[in-house]
Amino acid sequence: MPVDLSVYPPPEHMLRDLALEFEHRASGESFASLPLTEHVCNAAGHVRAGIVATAVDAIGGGLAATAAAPGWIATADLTLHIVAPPAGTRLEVLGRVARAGRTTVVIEAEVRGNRGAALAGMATMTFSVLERRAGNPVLTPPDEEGSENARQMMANDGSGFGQCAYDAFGIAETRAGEVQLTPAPYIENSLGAVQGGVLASLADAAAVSALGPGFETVDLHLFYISLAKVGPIRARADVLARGTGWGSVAVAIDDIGAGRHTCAATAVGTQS
Amino acid sequence: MTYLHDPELGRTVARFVGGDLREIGDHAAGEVVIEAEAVLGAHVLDGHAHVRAGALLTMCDNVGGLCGGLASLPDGWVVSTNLMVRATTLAVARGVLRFRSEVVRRGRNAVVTSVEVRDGEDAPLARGMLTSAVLVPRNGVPQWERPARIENVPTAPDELPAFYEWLGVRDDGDGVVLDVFDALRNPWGIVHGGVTAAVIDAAGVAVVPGAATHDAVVHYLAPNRVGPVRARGRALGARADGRVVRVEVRDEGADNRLTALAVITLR
Repeated sequence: MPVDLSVYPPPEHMLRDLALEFEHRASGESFASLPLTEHVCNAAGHVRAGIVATAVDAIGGGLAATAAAPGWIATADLTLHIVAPPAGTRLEVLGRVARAGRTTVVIEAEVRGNRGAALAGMATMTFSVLERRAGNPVLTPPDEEGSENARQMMANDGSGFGQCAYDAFGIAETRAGEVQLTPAPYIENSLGAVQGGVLASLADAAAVSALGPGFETVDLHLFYISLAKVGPIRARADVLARGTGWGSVAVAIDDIGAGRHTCAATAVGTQS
Repeated sequence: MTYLHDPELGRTVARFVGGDLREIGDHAAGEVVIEAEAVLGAHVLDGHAHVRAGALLTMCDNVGGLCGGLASLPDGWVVSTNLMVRATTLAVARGVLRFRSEVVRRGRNAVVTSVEVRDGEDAPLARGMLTSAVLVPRNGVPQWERPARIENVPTAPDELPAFYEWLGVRDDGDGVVLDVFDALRNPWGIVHGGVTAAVIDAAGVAVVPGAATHDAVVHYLAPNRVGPVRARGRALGARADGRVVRVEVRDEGADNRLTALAVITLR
């Protein structure tokens, strides 16, 4: 179900710069896509796992919020498996509700490029159902499939990255295996905390930093523990194992200013 | 019906795979920490003396579940909703696994616990996270003597049938099938989450013969109650760290409802 974009996200926001487009289908599925520009890709030209996770989280959030209405939702966990770099000029995600319960909603999503039909990855997410609070985005039912409000475009005039998306999020490496960012309205979710996709990007950046040059993240498993609000938000990756052409890491994300653990993650990277 | 109030019922699977679980945290201060040790019998090892992935997942579910359950008292008890385990190896030094589980997050409706697994030489073997829903059993919340202790130690492990043989998991060409019998039920009276994970592993191996599950993410969507339970795997792709397979589990006797979704990596 479409979200009232006049409430969230604000005009200057990473979701708008990603130029995400959504299509809400009568079947209950949702489709999202974004342009694969150089700013969302790594040196090998492959879209970064955190960007894929952001698209997946956004589409999952819309589906889960619809299933949880009139309640609201927060991402509890997100897993992403990329099996091939999405090919083409756009990243495409098709999501559906796998389970809608009283306290949780589980979403499954397929990830592809717009060239060829090959599956590029799969994601699953659990959302916790929350009581609606003032300020939560409002959902409006689409009139019909293909109608104006069944399709939504996040981009405003002038939206788009002028630099690497991770730099725009404020992600900076502090030392090998450690990265951090400072919360800002640009990367916040509707609860006023750092957006789940941005935390996934932070975990991805930490994993790549720990594994070394030439690696890219192909698996991300994130468990969201508490809201990241104060900052700095620091992600520290420790290598768990290395094999031929791959490595796995554990990533701990902490809100240093709040003195609390924000997210527990693991990742697998392969050499691109 | 549940078996939550009878310690003899609903614990057969946990006893079969083994493990001596002890609560070591300062429970009076609200801290819940579980440590466990399992001396692996031949029934949970494969032909290469590696722990069967399904047995490892079952043990992680047992240890993380006890930790989450104790943390949810006195409000309720837990049922697994999401199990993630990443194993660096399945080769177990000295045939011993040691587990440590802590509470990562305790919410009103859910509890998240971590599970760290080491081998008999204290080398890291796997890392897991278990999310459980906090539910109130119909006949009340179970009472526990604290600190809690569960000794799931088979008396003659080398005389037991192999885990998957005991489960009766079979490949019929359309995925793998499991018939439900009472010993497979957990204290809630539904098929143990570890058994479902073992079926998922078997479905993955049916797609990638000769490989073993090293990474698993399992979403438990609904209970397996009736059976037969069928798991179908679909190869998603190959990477440097292994083959990625999506597995869908259905309870055919319960209107073929979808009961679990998993993505696993085998190598």
